[in-house]
Formats: sequence, structure tokens, C-alpha cells
Amino acid sequence: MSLSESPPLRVDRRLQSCWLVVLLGLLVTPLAATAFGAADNIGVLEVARVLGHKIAGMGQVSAIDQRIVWELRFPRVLLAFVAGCGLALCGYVLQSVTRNPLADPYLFGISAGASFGGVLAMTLLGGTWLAWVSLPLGAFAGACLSVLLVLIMAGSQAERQVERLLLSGVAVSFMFGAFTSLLLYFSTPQATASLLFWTLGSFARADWNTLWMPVVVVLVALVLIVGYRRQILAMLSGDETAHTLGVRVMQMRLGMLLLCSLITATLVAQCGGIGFVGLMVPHLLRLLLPGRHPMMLTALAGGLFMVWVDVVARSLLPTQELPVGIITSAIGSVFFLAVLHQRRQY
Amino acid sequence: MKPALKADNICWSVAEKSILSGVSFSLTKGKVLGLIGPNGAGKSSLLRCLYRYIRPDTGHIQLFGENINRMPLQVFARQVAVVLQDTPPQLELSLRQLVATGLTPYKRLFERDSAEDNNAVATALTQVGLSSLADEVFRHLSGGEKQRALIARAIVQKPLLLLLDEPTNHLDIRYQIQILELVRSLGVSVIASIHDLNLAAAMCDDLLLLHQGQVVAVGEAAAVLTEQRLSDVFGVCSRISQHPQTGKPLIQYFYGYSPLVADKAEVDAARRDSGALYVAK
Repeated sequence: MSLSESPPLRVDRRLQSCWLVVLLGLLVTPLAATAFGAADNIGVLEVARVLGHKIAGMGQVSAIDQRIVWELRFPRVLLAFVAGCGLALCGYVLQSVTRNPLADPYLFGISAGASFGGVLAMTLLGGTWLAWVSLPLGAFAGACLSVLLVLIMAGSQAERQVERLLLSGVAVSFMFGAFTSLLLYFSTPQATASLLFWTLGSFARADWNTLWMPVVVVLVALVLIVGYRRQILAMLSGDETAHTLGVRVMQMRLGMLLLCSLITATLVAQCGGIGFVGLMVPHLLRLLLPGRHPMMLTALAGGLFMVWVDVVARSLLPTQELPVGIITSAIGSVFFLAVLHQRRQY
Repeated sequence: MKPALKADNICWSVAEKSILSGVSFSLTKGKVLGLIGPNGAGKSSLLRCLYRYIRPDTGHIQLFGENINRMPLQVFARQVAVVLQDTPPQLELSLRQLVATGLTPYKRLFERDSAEDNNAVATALTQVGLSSLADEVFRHLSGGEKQRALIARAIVQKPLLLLLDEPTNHLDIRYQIQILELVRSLGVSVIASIHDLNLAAAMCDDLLLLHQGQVVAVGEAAAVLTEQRLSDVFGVCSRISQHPQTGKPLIQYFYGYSPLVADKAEVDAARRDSGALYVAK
């Protein structure tokens, strides 16, 4: 009997339509999302002209259009896309290898550690030019420190590894959260304002010079995760079963945790803490497509979601920008609750 | 001919407490060995040693003459498939994907499923009678269907030896028989732990009786299952006759021998009438 003979189910059709939507989104988004912003005179046509000029060397564009589209908005759209992909991917992987539906970078304290590192760097070196250099480094160091703590606490007992990882992650998260609050409490109001904005997440700092780092990290992680996709799926069936399928369960889980920490640390260093994307996007796709676990679709959907959330962050208020983390959490949670309510059998 | 599996003096203890001590046995190729014994006898621990999830303190295990600890885990997984109880019942994975995870030990990184692989998955699903549910999600299946799905995955793994940890647990009697007949029909060497002694006697070629981590008896069902042993190991009173169809031992239990029961006279009378020889201590 061949596979094509089995009756196509609704879920498979839905999988196809999801891919269609995401691919359409990928086509439209670079132009459409870049066209949104404070400068009203730049529309989709201007964006297309600037991109055509920059990429293919066609036509002539004004210097101001070029600056706004190519130097400010386009890298921002790209960074948002990469960040969304990375966070959704982290959520997908962590939820799978720990078999815990709540797992995401936040739960393991990675984001809290990164925020603390960043805030510490800003407070110690704030006001000097060093601050903007040391902030990503501090965030990265903080993320590594929190992961190290979590891994030490996880121990070597195979049976209780998941439980200990999650518990120590929550504890480390609270610890660094408290340290961050302490620093914020004692810093100057201006410093507090900028730090707060940053801990809530923003893509405002996107530029071509720093964009390569998250792009490379997320791409490399994506390649590794695609490579190990069988092992990740096998771990859904339980540790012992995965072991009998030839998967080195403990090493795999720690390796994936390290990989996700690397992604999160890089992203937090670039754009601050953005909550809920890593938790929600994989869940949303599981709700829509029960039992399919589409990895690439999850990553791409996460990217698109983030780009459009950032568009909202840029254009919701006429005079100022909202921190993107607030919107991901606000939109995300409400949307998520709505979907959860609609599909009660989940 | 080399035995499919040979275990020699397996000992394993946790925190000074001995779980397995001096377990030795061998399994002839193509035979079905039933692992029986009371709760806590060490059945699951022994199986865990056999599929290398725990490493015994002493002893050797050989698979077709090769020390299992010398084999790379992935190569080992191509020869030994295991059906366990640890798969989360709420697993959100389509049956087809679940069965396809049986290909894991054969695949290199980035390698895609070939048409041949898809065929193997479809064939395995047909073999266990689940081809119409290939796109169903695991958690929506009934207990018997779940167990058959896990066996389909083991089939895709193309093992020489199949280990099953209580495959008939939580199933109604129809599925218990169905699962074990399915396993027998695969034609591979099998070790399965089974709680129901009558079922184990009827469906296995040989039985291995474990008690407190030691092998009490191993061999054909008629030699392993005696009224005396059932009394010593399980603490039950029973009478053993022959199954009219299989000729294997058929156990009938007597009730009311628990120390909690006060009135023994009636039970003793029943025992005398039936001619049971041994009484639980």
C-alpha cells in the first residue's frame, strides 16, 4: 500500500494552506513592512525603488529615501525577522527536548541572565562610549553565566534531568531578575529609562554592521537543528525510548540547551528581552496543525510575526515607539488565549 | 549456533541495595522468552540492562556473540528494538511520524526519508492493522492502538531482538492476546516481561522467573510454573492443570488466603475439594 492512498486529512490541507500563507508573507513582507514608519511619503513603491537600486543597481533614488529605507528600516525588518525565527526555533527545540510545553528561553533563565549582564554593563560603564560596546558583551556573558548555573544544577542523574533543569532555570531566572531590579532601583532616572526600554526589547538599534552576528548564529543553529531533527522528534517519545533509538539523550538535551542559549544571548544582546514569542509560536502551530511538528514553518512564522509586531510598535503611537516586548506579550497572550478557547479539546 | 542473547552473571545495585544479583540466561534465536515475577523482582531493571539504559555493576551481555557495551549505541539500536511504557499518552505526534522515528538509527544527519522508508512505515502500519489511522494523532488512539503503534515503530527499526516491557499492561484481554500474537508473528527473537502468568505460559516459548533480583527458574513453562514456586514467589495458592488447547500450564488461583481474611475454614474446604497441594505461607 502506498502512502498516497491514505485519505488526505483536514490537517494536511491546513498544513498546505499554512505554508501558502507563510510563503506569501515572505514575498510581501520585505516591501510592505519596510514601507511602514514615521515618514509618510515612503510607500511600497519607494521601498521597491530603493531596494532595486541597492541590490540590482537599477534607477536613481533620493539620498533621504535611501537612508531611511536602506540604513534604518530594512536592517530593522531583517533583525526582527531573524529574532523571531531564532526565538520560535528555541521554543520549538526546548519544548521538544524537555517534553515540557512551557519551556522557552525565559524559563531557563537565559533571558534574565542576559538582561542582568546588559544592565550591569550599562550601569558600570553608562555614559561613556564603552556602554554601547559592552552592552552586548555583558548580555552575552550574563546569558552564559545563567546557563552554566542551570547546567551545574542539572546534575548527571538521567531520570531527573528535565525536572532539575526546569526548577533551577526558574530559580536562576528569579535570582537575575532580582539583581536587575536592584541595579535599576539604584541607577539614575535617565539610565533607568533607557535600560527599561532595552530590557523590554526593541529593534531600534538594528544596523548593517551588527546584523551579521544574529544572522550567522540563527542560521548555524537552524542547520544544526534540521540536522538533528530526527533525534529531537525521537525525544518526544520519552528518554528511554529515545535511548533505544540510538539517541544520546543527556548530551543531546544539554547540547540543544546550549545552542538555544547561544541564540537567545545573541538576540538579547542585540534587541533586549522579547517575551512570549518562543513560547507562543510553536504552540500556535501545534494548535493549528496537531501532530505535525513543522520545524521550518515554526521558524518562518516566528520571523514574520516578529516583523509585523515591530511594525505595530513603530506605528501605533504617532510620536514615539513602543517597546516591542510589550506588544509581543500583549498581542501574543490575548491571541493565544483566544485560540486556546476556540479549540478547547487541545 | 550462537545464542541471540547471552547474559552472564548480571549484578546491579542501587545505594547498597541489590536489585539484580547473578542473573544468567541465554535466548535461542527466534524464540520468545517471557520474563515473569512479582512486582519489584527486577524485571524492568533486567530489561534496562539489556537495552543498555543502565550498566550492570558486573557481568557481560552478548548479542549474537558480541559484547553489547562495545557496540556504538546507534549500531546497537539497529539490532535491538524496545517497546516501553514511557511514551507520554498525550503525545502530539501523528502515527506516521511516530512510526518513522524507528528509522532514526539508520539515518545520517540531514538524510531525508526515501520512498523505500515511506514504504517501510506504511507496511509496518498495515502489519499492525493501523494503516487507516496513519494521520491520526497518537494521543487520540486507544490503549491497544497505542501499543500497536509502538510495535509498528519497532518493526521499522528492523531489529534482530525485540524487548518489550509489560506490553499487555492496561489492555483488555482481546488486545493482550492480539499484541502477543502480533509480536510472535514477527519472527524475531523476543524478550517480554508479562504479569499475567497464564498469558505468559500460553504465548512464550520459554519463561524466566525472577524473584528478588535472582533467577528462580528458567525453561519451558511446564517446568517453571509449579504450585510450589507460585506459593514461594508470589505468595498465592493455586492449582495447575493443562490448557486444553495449547497443552501449556493453566493456573487457577484460590482466593481468601490473605492474612487479612479471618474465616479460613471455607477456603480450606474448597482447597481440599480441588486437590491443591500447596498453600501460601
